[in-house]
This record gives sequence, structure tokens and C-alpha cells, in this order.
Amino acid sequence: MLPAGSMGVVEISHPLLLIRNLKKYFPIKSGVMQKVVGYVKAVDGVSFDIYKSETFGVVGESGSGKTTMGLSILRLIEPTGGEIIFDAPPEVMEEIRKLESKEELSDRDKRRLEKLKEKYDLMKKDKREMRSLRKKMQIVFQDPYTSFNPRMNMRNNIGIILKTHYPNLSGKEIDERVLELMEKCGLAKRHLRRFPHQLSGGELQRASIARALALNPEFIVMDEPTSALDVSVQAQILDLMQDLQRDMKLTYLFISHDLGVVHYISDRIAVMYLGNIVELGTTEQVFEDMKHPYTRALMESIPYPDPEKKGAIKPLYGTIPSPRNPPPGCKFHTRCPYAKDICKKKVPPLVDVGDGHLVACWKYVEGAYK
Amino acid sequence: MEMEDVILSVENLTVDFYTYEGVLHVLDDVNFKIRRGEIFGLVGESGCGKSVTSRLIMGLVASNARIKSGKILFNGRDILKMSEDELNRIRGREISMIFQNPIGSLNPVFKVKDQMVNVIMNHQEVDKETALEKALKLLKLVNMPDPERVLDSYPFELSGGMAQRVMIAMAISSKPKLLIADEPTTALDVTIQAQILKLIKELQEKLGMSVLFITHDLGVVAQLCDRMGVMYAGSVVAYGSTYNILKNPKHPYTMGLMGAIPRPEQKGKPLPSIKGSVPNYLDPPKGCRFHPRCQYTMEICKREKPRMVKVGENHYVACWLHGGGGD
Repeated sequence: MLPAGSMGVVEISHPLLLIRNLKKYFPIKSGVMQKVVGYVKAVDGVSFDIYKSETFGVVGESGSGKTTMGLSILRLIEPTGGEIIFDAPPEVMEEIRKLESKEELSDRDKRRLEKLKEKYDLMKKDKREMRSLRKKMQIVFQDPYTSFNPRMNMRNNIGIILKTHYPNLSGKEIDERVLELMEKCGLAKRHLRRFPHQLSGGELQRASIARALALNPEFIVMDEPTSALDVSVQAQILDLMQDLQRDMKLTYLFISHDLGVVHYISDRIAVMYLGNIVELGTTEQVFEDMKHPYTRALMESIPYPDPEKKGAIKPLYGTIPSPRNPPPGCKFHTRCPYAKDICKKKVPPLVDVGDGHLVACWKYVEGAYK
Repeated sequence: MEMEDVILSVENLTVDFYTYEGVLHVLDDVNFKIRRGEIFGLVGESGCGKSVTSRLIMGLVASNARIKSGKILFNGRDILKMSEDELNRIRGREISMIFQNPIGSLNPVFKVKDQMVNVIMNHQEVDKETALEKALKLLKLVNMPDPERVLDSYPFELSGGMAQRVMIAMAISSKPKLLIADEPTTALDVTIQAQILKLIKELQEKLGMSVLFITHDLGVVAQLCDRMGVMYAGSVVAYGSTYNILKNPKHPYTMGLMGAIPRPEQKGKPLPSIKGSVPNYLDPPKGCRFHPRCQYTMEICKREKPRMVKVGENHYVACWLHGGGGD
């Protein structure tokens, strides 16, 4: 199974989340009777671990399923299937991973695994339990302008979360806590009484982060938190996120289409294409030693702000196919310069190419690709 | 620079906007020139005045705008002094424009072919059939996959990249001398962005037109543009060859922008960011508008606006650190 990331902090750490075969299918309805005629497989069976205090980056183009995956992990949308083991004690996590890595499981092992998972699987929690767990898992959205109630000032926008989860707090206690949170995120007292439209994009994104921190979470999904911001403001927000992570031992799932940002902030990275993970590894593995043709194509598409590399971008052919009707076999084969017959027929497995660097490509399956 | 090389020259352009909140002093003495057959990049963050400038070049002056001074010379004639009739002869024929949101720029209730034929017949003396043939040719020129089907589609059936190709095809239909591209790839994925950038470069070479490329992305400018201008709060603060400006930035704002881009080398270190945020145009800072955010501010920066000075081969900045008093 996956080894711990190579970044200093992560090495001694244990998994906070085990995601197994997570799926989200959206039905396509048609006709007067709204009959289901097919499914959009937005997330089509992804499995990975997120370690405590790491930043796990997810990259991919629009429509690759990254946001859907983030929302499914928090059960903000109901996943179609899969397991999300969250915040189990380290020894339980270890035992689960040990059992999973066995070649063959005896019936006893199977029962044991099920029992271990059951208690910590978010998919098995009811509404009330989920609500209490949500204190530990929060989200920051892409568009800060629409993330707040426009008719509430910032104090109430953040305070309402405290009030919901801790109804006994007095108004004064909420005032104090909101101010403390806002100051932590680089906002000041004068922002408390302002309404969302009176704040800039950068200030609003700071407030979104303050709101996400309100309940002392362990895990935050950052869904493209800087893509609506200018580069100078983006740098401020990225710095803030890293400071908070260090101080509060936060774990981030960082979703972005910007490879530069993901490279800068992530310890480990998953590359998604049409609902599947095609490559997963540490930042060094994915950026310095990329294996999947799609990852390579993404890298070659980035315009670097270095005039010496003028003309270095190599566009990839075609566009991402419709997820309604994805290509058979490897979903990337329609755009892949190395596609062979097998790629058109069979889905490539995610194989380890060394040190836990996982790639789903027939090129790296021995004997399959000639 | 020889006058005949210049297709567009923006000179001392100062523009105010009258709103209910007061007078916004948006453009403050903007100067730049675009040569024939080059791609000129205009970079800056949101609200720095790049889009306002591009709209003025099209002769699109908002009703609440007051042009306090300046000229926009296109082929030696001042666009700001032209009548609406004269402007209409230039728009879409000699200067055309593509926008950030390609799907929103197309009319949702007409098929692509109707919109393209309409544009072509508007600018060229051709009948409908010829226009339709031309439309198909144009779509092939912009490397549209399956052009026949696209002609028969509505805008909502197109992806962002395809819609931008349709926009580009329409924009180049009359072989303009200047194409204004206002953040044409910002809404697109990085792989599609790479395709569109390559297409713009190819078409620029094939048609010999000039391109004014407006963007906030220094990476795109580095890849595409021969020369560039950096705008901050309504003024051009750095101007010259892209290579020199990005390789050896001299203006503190350009330096700050370059530093704020996350790069592999900076991993694990905090990103140097420019403190503060862009000023309010109701009451912009006196002197150099960047001085409240600049780490090298001197007394003179707060009093007087610096003029453009040469700091290297084909590299000019407006900054008191480098003289700033003018040549």
C-alpha cells in the first residue's frame, strides 16, 4: 500500500482518511416520465489515503470530477458507493491497511476488516452523527463572493456556525470567538460589521477560511480557493493557509486546476481524468518523474513566466470527452499519443511503479504494451 | 520607433468615470505603442484598467466616461475623435475583438452559421451563400474539429474552447489589422488554453495582423508576446521587450508580481506577496499610485508621479528608484 509522503512532517504521520472505491454517479433523466437513461460517472471508483497534517493536491481539467470528489468525501453530496474511513485511531488505520494489503483474506479477516471499518465509515453514519462529525471536516469554496449570505454581516455569517453547533454560547462569546478567528486570518475588527459585498475577493476568501476554522476542524477541503483571485492576493492566501496548517496541524485536500499552485503547496498529488485517478504520488514523483501521458501533457500545456521558455508549450490534441459517454478502455486513449489497441479495450489498473508512485497506464503494465 | 511601424499608439490617455459615488480617476496618463505584426501583451490585475483601455481602442466609450486628455492613434488617426459612422467602418473590419467568456459572447438563440453569416455580410459585400462558404473556410482556418456540425449548432452545444474558436473565426473574418484579445483563455482549461494560444500565434503570422493581448497571466505573456506593458491602477508602469521585463524586472510592482507566482523552487518557503490591495479610484494615492504598497517608497514617490525612464535595452519603467524624472 501507500507509504507515507516524503515531506518531513508527513513521514511520522498516520492516515486521517482512507477513501476506498468512492463513486458518484449522476442519473441522466429523459422524457416526460423522467426515466433514467444513463449515468454520468463523475467519480468512478477512486481510492487513496490522506495523511494527517499533509496537503493532498488534486489536479485535473474541468469535468474531471475533482470537485464532485471533494463534496462526496464530506458527504455534502451523497456518494453512490464506496467507503470513507475518517479519523480512526492510528492502530485501527494500520490494521485496516494491513488486512487490505493481504493477497487473500480468510473469512475471519473479512469479518474483522468489516468490523474495523464500520465504526469509522462516514457512509454508515446517520444525519445526526454526520452533523457532529462535520465539526471536524470543513470546506472552502472556489467563489468567495457567493459563499456568504449577502444579507448578513460577517460577524453573523461566521457566528451562525458557532451558534448552530454550540447553541449555548452567548452573543458576547460568539463576538469574541469570531473576532479571534478573523484576526487569525488577517482580518480586523472593522470587518465584523461589514456585509459580504463590502469586502474584496481576497478579504472574503480570508473570511471563508476563518469560517472553516470556526469549529476547530482537522480536515479542510480547499476547492480551488485561489482561482478567483489575482496572483498577488493568491500568494497572500496560500501563505495564510500554510501558516494555519502549521499552527493547527490541519490536513488539506487541495483541489485546483493550476499545476503551479498545486506543486507549490502539496505534499502528495493525485491527477484526475474523467472521474478516475490516473497518477498518484509525492509532489516530486508526479512533477519530476511523471509517468502518465496525461500528466505530461498537462505539464507541457502550462505557460511558464520565463521568457527563455518561449514557445515551449505543446498543446494536447482534442478536448476532454463527455462524461455521459466516456471512451471505452483507458478514457484518455482518444487524446493519447501512445495509444495502442489494448488501451481502447481494457481499463488500465493503477500500478505501483516504485516507492508508492501509482500510475494507471498500460505502458507500465509488464507485457501488456508492445 | 518609426511612425510607419506603429499600428496603434495610445498617448497620454487620462479618463475619469462619473458614478453616483463620485468621480473615479481610472486611467492616468496611459502610454504605449503597438507595432505592425507583433503580439503586444498588456498585463495587470483585476481593476487596473486594461479592459477599459481596450474598449476605448474599439471606440466604446461609456456614457459616464470623460476623456480628460490623450489620443488613441490607429494608423495615424485619432479614434477618440471619430464619428460613429467612421468607427463602424473600422470596428470588426480593421480592429476586432475577442472576449473572456466566449459562450456568453455568442447569441444563444441563433445557430453559429447564422451569427457568422451575419457578421460576414455586415462587413463584406457578399451574398448569403458565399458568406456561408466563407464561414466554413474560417472554421477550418481556426482548426475547428467537425466544422460542418459546428456551423449547425447553437452556442450552448459548444465547449468553451470551441466557442472561442468560433469567436476568433468571426473576429478574423475581415482580416483585421489589429485583434484585441481580452483575456481570451482565462475561462479555459490549461490544455485548451495551450491550443488557443498556439492558434492565435499561427493566425497572427499567417494574416500578418497585430494582436493586443490582455491578460493577468504573466506565463501567457512570456509564451506569446514580443513586447509588453504592465499596468497598475490605471497607468503603465513597465514597458518594453517581454524578455527584458520578465527576465530582469525593474519596477517594484513587476518584481512583486513575478515573486508572487508559486514556483517549484519556492516550495516550503513563504511566497513573497505584495502587501495591501489595489487602491480605490475615488481617491487614488498621490504621486506614484503604487507607493502605499511599495517596499522602496521614498518621499518623492508620495508627491510626484514618476515618468517613464529607460532602464535597459528596450525596457522602460515609471519609478523614482530609476530616476523617474524623465529623460
